[in-house]
Amino acid sequence: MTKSITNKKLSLKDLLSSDDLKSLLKNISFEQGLLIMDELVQKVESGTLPLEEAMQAYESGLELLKQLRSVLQAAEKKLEVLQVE
Amino acid sequence: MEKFLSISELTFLLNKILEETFCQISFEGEIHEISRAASGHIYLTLKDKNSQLSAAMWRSFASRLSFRPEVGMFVQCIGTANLYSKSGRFQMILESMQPAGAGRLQQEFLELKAKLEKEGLFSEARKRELPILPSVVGIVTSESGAALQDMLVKIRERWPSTQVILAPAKVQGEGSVVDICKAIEKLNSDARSEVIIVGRGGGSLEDLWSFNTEAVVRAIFKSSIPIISAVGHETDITLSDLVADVRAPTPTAAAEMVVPHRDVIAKSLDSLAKRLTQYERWFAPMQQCFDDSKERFIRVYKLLIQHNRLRLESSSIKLSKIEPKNLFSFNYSKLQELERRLKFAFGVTELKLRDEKLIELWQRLKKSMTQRVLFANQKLDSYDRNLKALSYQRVLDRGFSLIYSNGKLVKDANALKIGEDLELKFSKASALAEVKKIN
Repeated sequence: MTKSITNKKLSLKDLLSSDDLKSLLKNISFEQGLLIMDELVQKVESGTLPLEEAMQAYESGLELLKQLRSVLQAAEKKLEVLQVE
Repeated sequence: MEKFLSISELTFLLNKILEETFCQISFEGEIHEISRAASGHIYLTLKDKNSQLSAAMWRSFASRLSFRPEVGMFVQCIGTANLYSKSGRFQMILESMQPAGAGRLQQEFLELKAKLEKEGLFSEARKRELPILPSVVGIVTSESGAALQDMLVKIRERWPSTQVILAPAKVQGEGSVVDICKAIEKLNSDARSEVIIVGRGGGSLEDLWSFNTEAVVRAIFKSSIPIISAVGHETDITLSDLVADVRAPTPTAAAEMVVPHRDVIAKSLDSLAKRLTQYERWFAPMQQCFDDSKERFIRVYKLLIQHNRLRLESSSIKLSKIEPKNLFSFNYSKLQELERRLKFAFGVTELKLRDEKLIELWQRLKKSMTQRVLFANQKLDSYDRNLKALSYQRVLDRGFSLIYSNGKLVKDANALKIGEDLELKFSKASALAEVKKIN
């Protein structure tokens, strides 16, 4: 899992207005993904989204879930030893 | 003949007395000289301001020491006096030795703590929150210590894909302070770690001492990456614990704090997924809004009906005032009053009238009055019928309706305006309409 500093401020709004959801999600950190997922579900549940946006949120949510679940399955990382002189 | 003791005999006797008299004596002093023999025995010279004394510690005791005695150290010992027969040198044979500084260290600790506290290094306000799920975790500890293995095992178990970067450091003894500081700086300049664990396993107070030094505390304070301090056991509190963003009781506990368990995250993902796919929730608020409007509409409608019913009742009361029946009762009471006045005018009651003429006249008057009343009654009945025929309710019953605008009956369509609200009153109920066009 690589952490992308440039994506630190990615919000739910960016996610919903994105044309290329998959590549956007690729660079997202797990923690951020979780936060966005939570916000997304709450938005949908609040019923304040117009139906069309709710559908879009739903689609994005499913894609994001898939992504997060795959991170959960990710392989064990090797220990890296930093040289301290 | 005087008996002479041999040197060996004298030494033996002296030793006997020394050992019996000065057995297991507690004493303290500074280490002036120290040598470690290949055999494992330690030979020292202990001194204070005015005196010095030789001492030896045999291997079996020396191997049990919890610290490494060095020149200049102030130590507390338990030992027995002895005269070394080979050289005739007096010495103390030591069974135990410990740094006398425990009390002094405590004092140092408290002084440093007070100083740093005053500077605000331990302020709660500057403590940062740990990232929920760091992808990279930095660790500062000994490469060979059990603490590192404990932490790695825990992290792998909880979140296997966590990248761990170790910045190795000696965690006790000479050079450990510099090592720990450098390792923290190194992880900061590497900048990949999102959180750093600085720690070591349990040990004596002296073992943990590096984590009570000003240099290490300041290095932790300076770190731009949040730090978890995990030094020794739960009961050990070091200054590193106080300055760190979070204190973990043990290295294992630090590993548990730093990453969540993936089963927990998996569970929360499942619940998010479940919530996301409950479509009916999407519409619930809309449904509620609809139900709301429906209720409000019914309420307004009921009010409207109520209002019109009141208006109808008030017109029906007005109408009833001019109804013939009531008109008649009004006239009848007038007649009765006339009768009363008439009787009064004659000053007598009917029975008391002697004059038959008068009686007859009275009878005729009464008869004519009755006829007039009867006639009037008939006439009133006919009025009644006519009025009823004229009542607009009848007209409405025939399918006509009344049009009100602002509560006034509309008689001329030209007086209306486009868009104006009209109230249509039917025989039964009424309706609201809007003027679309005027012909």
